[in-house]
Amino acid sequence: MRRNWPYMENHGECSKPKKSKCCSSWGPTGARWADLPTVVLQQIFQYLSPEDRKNASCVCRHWREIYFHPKWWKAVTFRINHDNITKSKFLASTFASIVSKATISLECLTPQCIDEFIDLLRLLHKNNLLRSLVIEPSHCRLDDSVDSLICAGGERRIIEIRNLILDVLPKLREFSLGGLEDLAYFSDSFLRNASPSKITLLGLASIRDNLAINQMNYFTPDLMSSFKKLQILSVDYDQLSNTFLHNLKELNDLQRLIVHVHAIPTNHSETSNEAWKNFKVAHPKCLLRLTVVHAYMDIRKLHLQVLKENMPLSHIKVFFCEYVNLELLHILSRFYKNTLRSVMWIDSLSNVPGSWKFLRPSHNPDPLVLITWLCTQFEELVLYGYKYPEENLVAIGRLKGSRMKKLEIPKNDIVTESIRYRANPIKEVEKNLKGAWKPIYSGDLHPVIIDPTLGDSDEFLLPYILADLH
Amino acid sequence: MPKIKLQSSDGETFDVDVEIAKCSVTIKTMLEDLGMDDEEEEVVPLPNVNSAILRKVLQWATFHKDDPPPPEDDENKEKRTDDISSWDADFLKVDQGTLFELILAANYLDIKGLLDVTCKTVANMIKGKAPEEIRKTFNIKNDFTASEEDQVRKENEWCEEK
Repeated sequence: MRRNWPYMENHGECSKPKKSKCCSSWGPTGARWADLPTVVLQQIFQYLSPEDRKNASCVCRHWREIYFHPKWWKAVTFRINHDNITKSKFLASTFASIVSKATISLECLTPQCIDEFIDLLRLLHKNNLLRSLVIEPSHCRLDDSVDSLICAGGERRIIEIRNLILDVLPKLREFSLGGLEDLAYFSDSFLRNASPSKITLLGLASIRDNLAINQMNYFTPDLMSSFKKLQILSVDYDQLSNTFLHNLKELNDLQRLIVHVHAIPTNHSETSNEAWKNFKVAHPKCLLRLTVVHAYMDIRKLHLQVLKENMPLSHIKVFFCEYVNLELLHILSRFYKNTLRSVMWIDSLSNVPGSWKFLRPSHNPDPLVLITWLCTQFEELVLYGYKYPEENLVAIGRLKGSRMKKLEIPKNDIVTESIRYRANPIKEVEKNLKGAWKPIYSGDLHPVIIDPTLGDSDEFLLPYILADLH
Repeated sequence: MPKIKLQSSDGETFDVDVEIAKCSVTIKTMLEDLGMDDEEEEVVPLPNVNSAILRKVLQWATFHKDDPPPPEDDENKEKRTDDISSWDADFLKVDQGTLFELILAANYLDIKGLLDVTCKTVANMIKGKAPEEIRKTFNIKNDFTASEEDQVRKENEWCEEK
């Protein structure tokens, strides 16, 4: 009796049986590579690099279809740019429904771009694979300048963005509002909608440059305590308090806390050294990054009111405060010998000799040389806008050698003291760093570094700040 | 050792150890689902595989019968293609038509190891080539219209900037 072989009827995608042809008669022309079954082609593509996959996808229509398979587009950066809305729309329509890690690079904030952003959020909202939503704007206020959102129904748009984010949040593991001040205002409701059992990264800190219009970025500190899986968290200094630190105690995997300081609010109660001590016990692996932006007034008292000896400080960035706080720099090497990795102090250059800002203490030793010498983990120094003696630069190179991963300073800021130290200090630094090293030449400087009126400082500082979440 | 008869599309019958035949998940599942009666001489028809290819497939399966089961795929990383064993490399020194048929057979019979190694071989033939070179290698006709080609070029530019 013959059996009925149901499996044999099911040819699946192999739907073109080449019956009774012997393989030997099949030359390259007989093999219909263009018609390979989709699953097979997917597997072949899986063995290719993105570049080879791209080339293979240009071969014919069928091969092209495979290119946009979700497995190769789990992480996508959606660029939204006024100059190429077609591209923004293409990226949104192709990837928004399949991506799991969405980075939205908002390259301009015109009403049209904001509308694209809203459309993209709508598509992402329907995507159940979505796990990460990270906004990376080029500027930090939605209601900025001539393209004011307020003029163009900005408030309505902001509310719509907020609502869409609130809807998306329950499925996310990672969320960052990209420093957007207009969104930071809703931190409290964002936290209420986020899923405590999922979230590992939360970027709630804002970047502001006009303190007159600032609103406190503050949420109920208790909200934090349930986010037990949280690993990376950024908040504004407004939020930082002993209670807040205490509420983080239950988070057992916290690795990075980022705090943005714009000003020290008058009613803000400082954190205590004791609270930080407890924090360190509760989160032995957690490091703190302090980012100071446009704190024109309070930069002078930062070391008195904000820095605490028990902070596990690893990174400090100071952007456009128009002042170098030497006492603070000295404290860094005293307090944070075991944790400090990176110092960035950034202002616009002052090229008029009479107004040169010197980074020179009244007495030696130089605080940056001290940091290099005493802080065992120190590996990154970025210094813009302050004249810095070349012999100190040479000293830093000698002290750290190849362990110094980044040493960034504009050529114009390196000054020669009374006696020239070496024939070629740059060569000396390069030799010690054991890699090609050169200062930043004026042609490569961002305009806003050359002159604060030439650009928006957001453009310069945002890439550094957004990178903190990575 | 129990045997099974496999019949190719062109009517040739192959006597095969059941264990070797079972490296094809398609055959294995079929035998399990329908229940094998040892007494009965079964002929399993394989209407999608001709005798020349089936012979090659069985040769491959016989050599690899004691292989450990292939590891689960990790979708996240680009997979290697430089780890083809020398036996497999020799085995796959065949004309493109045979390679093509082997892929279809491995897919149809669901033989993961054979599908992996044949796909790797094809991937190696694609690597480092421009689209036109790939078309030439595999004798594929460019079926894009001019405007589609334009669109493809644009899309590639847009997707590139990650």
